Amino acid sequence: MQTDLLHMLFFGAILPVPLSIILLAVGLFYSNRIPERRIHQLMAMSMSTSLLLTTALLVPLIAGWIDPIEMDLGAIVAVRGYSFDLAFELNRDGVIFLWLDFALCGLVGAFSSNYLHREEGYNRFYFLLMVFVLGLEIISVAQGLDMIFAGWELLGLSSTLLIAYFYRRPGPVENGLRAYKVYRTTDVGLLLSLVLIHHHLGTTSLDALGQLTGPSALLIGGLLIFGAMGKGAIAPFTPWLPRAMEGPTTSSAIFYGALSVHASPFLLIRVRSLLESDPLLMSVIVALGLITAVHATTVGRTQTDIKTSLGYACVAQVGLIWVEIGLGFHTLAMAHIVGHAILRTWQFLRSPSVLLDRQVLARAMGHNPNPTGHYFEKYLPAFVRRWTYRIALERWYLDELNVVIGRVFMSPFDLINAASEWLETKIETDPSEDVVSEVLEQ
Amino acid sequence: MKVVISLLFAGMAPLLVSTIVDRFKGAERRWIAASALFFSFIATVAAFVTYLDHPVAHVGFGFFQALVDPAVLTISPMIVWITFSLVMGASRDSLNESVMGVLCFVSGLSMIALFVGSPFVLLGIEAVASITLAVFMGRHGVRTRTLSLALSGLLFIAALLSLGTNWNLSFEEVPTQAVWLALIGGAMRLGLFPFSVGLASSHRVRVRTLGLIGTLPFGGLIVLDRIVEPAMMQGRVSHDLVTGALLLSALIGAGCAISQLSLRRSFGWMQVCVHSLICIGLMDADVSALAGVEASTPLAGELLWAGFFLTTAGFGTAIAMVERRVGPCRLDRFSGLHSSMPFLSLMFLLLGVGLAGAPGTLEFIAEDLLLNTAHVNGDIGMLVVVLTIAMLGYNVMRAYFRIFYGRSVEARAHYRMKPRERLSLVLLASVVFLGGMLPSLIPLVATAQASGLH
Repeated sequence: MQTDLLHMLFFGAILPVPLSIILLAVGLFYSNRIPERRIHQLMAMSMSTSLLLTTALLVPLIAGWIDPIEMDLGAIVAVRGYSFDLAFELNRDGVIFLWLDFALCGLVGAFSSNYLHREEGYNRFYFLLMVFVLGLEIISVAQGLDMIFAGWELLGLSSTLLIAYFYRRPGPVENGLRAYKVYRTTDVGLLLSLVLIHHHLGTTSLDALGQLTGPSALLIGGLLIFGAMGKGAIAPFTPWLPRAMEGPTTSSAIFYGALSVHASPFLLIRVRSLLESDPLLMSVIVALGLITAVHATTVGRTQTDIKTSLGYACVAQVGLIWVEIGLGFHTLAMAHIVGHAILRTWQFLRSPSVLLDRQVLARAMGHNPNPTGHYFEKYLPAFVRRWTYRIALERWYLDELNVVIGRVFMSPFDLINAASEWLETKIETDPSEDVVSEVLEQ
Repeated sequence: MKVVISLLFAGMAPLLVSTIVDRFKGAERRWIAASALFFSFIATVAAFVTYLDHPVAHVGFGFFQALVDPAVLTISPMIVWITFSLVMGASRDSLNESVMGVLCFVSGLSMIALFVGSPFVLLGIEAVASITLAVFMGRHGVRTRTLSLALSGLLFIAALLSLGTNWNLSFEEVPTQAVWLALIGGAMRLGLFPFSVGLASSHRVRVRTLGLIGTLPFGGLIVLDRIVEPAMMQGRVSHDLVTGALLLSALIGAGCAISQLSLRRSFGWMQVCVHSLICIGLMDADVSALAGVEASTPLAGELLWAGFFLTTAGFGTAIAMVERRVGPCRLDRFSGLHSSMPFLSLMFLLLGVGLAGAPGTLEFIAEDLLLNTAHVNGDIGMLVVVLTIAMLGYNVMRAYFRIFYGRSVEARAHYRMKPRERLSLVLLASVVFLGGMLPSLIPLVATAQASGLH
């Protein structure tokens, strides 16, 4: 009886979002003129339902009054040697992240109803936001790594399309594509780890990961770490994140302040049974986290706009969360994720008003506020300060590094393309494209 | 027997229509072709319903052998569905040329080739299809693809002639020489590297639907599946060599697609990549079986075939619709078409994410199955498959952003999509997503699941 109730609560918590997506998709397919009010109501209903039911499960799971809730909806494909199971598990870490997901996305959804009122892409924003929520839901409760990968993909897609929300300007679109390039690059690690896990264990269930040992555990763990680096903007994949601020402030808040960027350490927490099997993996996590924190701190200090500064500050904290995970402090890391996500969401949502806030404060005080913070760099020698500033201003030359790596990787394909087109010019009577274009329909 | 008759009808209907469609004019050609395909689809559904209790059926003897398995009952309706969509999405220029006739002819031949049980008949059919396409591509001034298709046809004929005179020959008994000839002919037909030049340039053809017919995997794959695969199982053809070549082709296709600045050529290279992945999926089945790995992998190749066939047809049709309206598109600048073509933008994105294998699509399941046994190709092979899939996804998004985003262009009257064009894209996208969310509807999956329960 109790188990049935828990299953019902769990199911009720995760069902509203996919249902809303289907309703929204059908509605938008037939007419792009659905009233803003209706979309907002749909979103509010699904978020509040999910949040309420998740809250009901939150305290019992954290306090350990109930065991993790497992739910198996069967396999959508099950043949000899392979199955894609819709298996979910809500444990302590999952319920916290899920609760955070619904709370913050619901908040941002409510904020956006005014912020994006009468904006052309209002419907598009909400649809992508719901897809994003679904992706996070899956990552929070999936029992297998292949399901997590499905959620990871949805996260990446929705994130990319929201960065390019203001699609008429080339800047946001280029930055969206840049972010997607990083996502796909690091997804290679995740996919390879999936393949290897299946090869060694015959399953991608997270519970079985602890059985891996030796070189295979090291390799798979390394690939998982690589896979998590992209979304978390861990160095050297940091450059995409500040550029992602081109999207609406509300999407910046939820993606790069709150949830998407924290999906990366959350993934590490979910696969910790594998990572903890090898101290080298944990050391790598700590090292990457430290490098990222130092990088983001130095670069963030040279930024001149609020959202980029916040972006780098966020990355610095994510780096520290990685350090905590690498040192084995998972509970601390989860607490850090929750606190940081809420703080950054607030900061991002307030960022358009930061100048106004400052003016109000100055008027109240009667003078400009004094500078805050302890500037450690004053203790450094002048030439070290100069060079640190220079390197930080150039964002540690990571952009240039990425461009060079990209060119080296693509150079063989450029050669083959050139050879192919040369061959074509020798064979075709008229290799020009424009001449053979189809008559434009009138 | 009933199954074979249904399938025969399904294949013959478009073949017969192809001989008479040119007697009609203009839009009548479209509707005649569409009607034939409608009946053809009903026949394939009837075949599936009749087939339900039989895992594999061998019927007939000599030349008149038929081989019916779940793959046939999945791919046949896909071919009809895709052909119907192409018919609906074809431009008026296509109606004035003999495109409807060629389309029906090629699709009819493909459906018959799927279930023939005699290597003689199969090679003969593929040779006829290749040469027919070569003639039509040649008429429209695309020499490189014409050359590939013509050579492919000649190689199939050479393979046919080297089969000897044993009319009861089965696919497993095809001589090694014929296997190699069929392999190279199939590679040319599919445009696998190093025969990709023709494929990338095919989309230069004035009538875009013809470019699609000349490059979509209507044929070639069945030759590799029926003739080459058994030879690999027997060790007469080196699996490592063939799979190595396919992996290289897939990687080069994906890389060259990204490197390309022309949308059409980029699409052509994507097709190279996609065809190579399908072949890898089909070939891996054998090695897995040999290695004692469970037989889920026959599903991978055939699902990839079905899924990629749908998505490339849809993506290619969407590209053709865009370029029909605005001319050739470049991928080094923004075209800003989203505001003026919102429906096409949406369908382009949906079909593109389908091609990239996003969750909820048929390709996601198929690629997951492929990755399931990617390790049989070794570490490098595994890396190549994963890298290729990642690059394919990036290229799709790049194309979408470049074509539809950027400073908006003013909508013009001829940007508006006709209902039949919308129908064409919706038909293709619907199967991609339905197949992804309910894969058990697909006969191949349903049968594999049923046998997996034993």
